[in-house]
Amino acid sequence: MTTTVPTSAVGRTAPTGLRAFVRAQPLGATALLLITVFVLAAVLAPVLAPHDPLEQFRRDILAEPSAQFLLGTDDLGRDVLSRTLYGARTSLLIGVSTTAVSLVLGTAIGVVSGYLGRGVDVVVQRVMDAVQAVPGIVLLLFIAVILGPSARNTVIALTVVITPSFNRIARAETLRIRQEPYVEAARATGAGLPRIMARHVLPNLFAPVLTLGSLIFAGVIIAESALSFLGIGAPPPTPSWGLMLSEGVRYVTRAPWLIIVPSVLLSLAVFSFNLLGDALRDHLDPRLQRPVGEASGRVWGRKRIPTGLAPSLAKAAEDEPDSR
Amino acid sequence: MPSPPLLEVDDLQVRFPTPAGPIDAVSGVSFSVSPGETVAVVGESGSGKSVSALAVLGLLGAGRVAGGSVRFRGEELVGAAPDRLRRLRGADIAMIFQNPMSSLDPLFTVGDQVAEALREHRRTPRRTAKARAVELLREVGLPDPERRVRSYPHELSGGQQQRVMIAIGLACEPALLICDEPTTALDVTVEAQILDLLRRVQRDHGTALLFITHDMGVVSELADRVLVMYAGRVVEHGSVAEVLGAPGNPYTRALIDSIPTPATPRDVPMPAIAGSVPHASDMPSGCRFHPRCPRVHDRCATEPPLHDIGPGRASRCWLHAAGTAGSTVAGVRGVG
Ligand SMILES: Nc1ncnc2c1ncn2[C@@H]1O[C@H](COP(=O)(O)OP(=O)(O)OP(=O)(O)O)[C@@H](O)[C@H]1O
Ligand SMILES: [Mg+2]
Repeated sequence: MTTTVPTSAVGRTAPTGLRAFVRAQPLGATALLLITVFVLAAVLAPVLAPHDPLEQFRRDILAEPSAQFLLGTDDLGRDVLSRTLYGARTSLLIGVSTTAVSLVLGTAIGVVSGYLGRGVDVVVQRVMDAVQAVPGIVLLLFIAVILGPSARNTVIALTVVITPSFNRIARAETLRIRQEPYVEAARATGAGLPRIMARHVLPNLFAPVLTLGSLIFAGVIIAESALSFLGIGAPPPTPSWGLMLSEGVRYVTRAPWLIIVPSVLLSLAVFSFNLLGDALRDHLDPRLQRPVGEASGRVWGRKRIPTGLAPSLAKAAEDEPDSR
Repeated sequence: MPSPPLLEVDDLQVRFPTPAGPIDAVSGVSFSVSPGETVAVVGESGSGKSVSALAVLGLLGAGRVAGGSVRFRGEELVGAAPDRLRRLRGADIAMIFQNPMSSLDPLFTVGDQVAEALREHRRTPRRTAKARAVELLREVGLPDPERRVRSYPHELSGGQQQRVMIAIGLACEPALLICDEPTTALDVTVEAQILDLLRRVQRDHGTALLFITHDMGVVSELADRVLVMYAGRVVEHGSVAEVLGAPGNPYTRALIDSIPTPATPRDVPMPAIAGSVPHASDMPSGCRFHPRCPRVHDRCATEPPLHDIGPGRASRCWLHAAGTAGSTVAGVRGVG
């Protein structure tokens, strides 16, 4: 029995580094590549954009895509390609910063509240409930109207609306993890609160929080669009994908490229972040891993299963009945 | 015992809050463990074995020690500063649990977790800790430790996981290792290997063991002295040879009789003890075992004290009181 060596243990190395990630999660790596392209496009917008995004070419209103305007122009004669590149800045910046800030804030609140329990927990959770009880769009409108339309205020408004979701999941996970025998065992070796938090609670709630984060990111980009659409997001003429959509809708029959371009990019960005979130979660859970040495596909019956799909399948087959 | 005890538990009472009011999971529990000695704690499920052990480490969660004292090397641990207790845990008193799989964090390699235990109490540099982890894993008999330090818990068998837990327990060379049913989740061959390992560890390091089990066979194999618990009380204690050879208490007798032997006839039902351990919220008055006891008589309506029935030996039963003939209980087979 002591010599029973599960095959997956042989020759494994710790799953670290970009290379291991690319090899184990090709879909996730593709998503990462796409996101990098998006970010580069946003950062390099001033260099890449053929025109000033605000410049109005009065003789080329709603012009079709051409050599001069690769993706056409809008109703004010502005170059759609340039606006898309600059719009990526606004949309990604708002999407990423809102998700990041509310993830960190919500997780911190949830973990502390869940671990301390008692009075602190009750007060904090009731406040969170109160925020969540107000319909999101109403709260967004309210905050945006009070603070005034700007990119920064959009981030603030969205953060207020989203933070309770992260709080909720982080708190639930904390309550679960603090009951785990490995936390009890860690206490029995003399681990104190800070160490239990850093070593056990946070790493073990990372996966669900990350998954929620990738979903929320999609929601944020869409919400930003909605706010711009309603005229309370980043104010015109600052280009953002949401704003481009809302302005383009009016000309959907005459100039469909006005909405096709931002909506395709929006979907692609959201999809990439979802994929990346999933891949990261799988990659960081050693239970869903396969040894790096056999990464090129496992012989399964007569079929070779592509690496990206294999881990969960292989795991299912290797599961001993007594491992939980 | 010539050497002063390492651990002295005296009149321990542990109370848990429940929706129906506070309950005393154990009360009046006293025992001691000398350096290098193995003391077994036996009793059916719910008799308070784990609670007593956890009370020593101050790991009672919602519960608290409502009375009595726990002294380690003469130092009072009941009411000690949390930080003082934290420093003792792992370093001087280590504990290993019943379920090795869930006692290891799934996200970290076993080497990481052994090194972690080292770094907790001694400011061991990371590199040294890693090297020492390999040594410890070799010592507990994990095959191929150089490579296995990088395994994750789910990649090991149950027996290997328990070896890792023992390595973690031994990391800081504690004077006392508390084992709470460490082999219950394992099959018999692995159980024998783990018991061998614990015996070897004890011989090599002079570690004292407080060994919780409900298996009388394990008691006779491993322990010097045994403490029999029932419904939150110690009902008998003494040397293993004496207690198992000539049990003083009807409960001990019944526990021993419920072990099947090759001589146990197959055509009659197993001699199990009828009924189950009463819950702390619903304790019978008088002797706590009397509703299930084959030797019950009218004196059992009041609870008996622990009677000394020999050197270092006591039993909680009226049968030992003056005027009652015979101080050990004859076989009571066929109780079930
Ligand atoms: N956290 C708790 N809250 C309330 N009651 C508890 C708690 N922990 C233990 N108890 C009670 O204390 C009693 C003794 O429990 P304990 O876990 O010590 O039993 P045990 O002898 O270790 O049994 P087992 O062999 O099943 O491990 C039980 O009746 C149980 O209901
Ligand atoms: Mg127990």
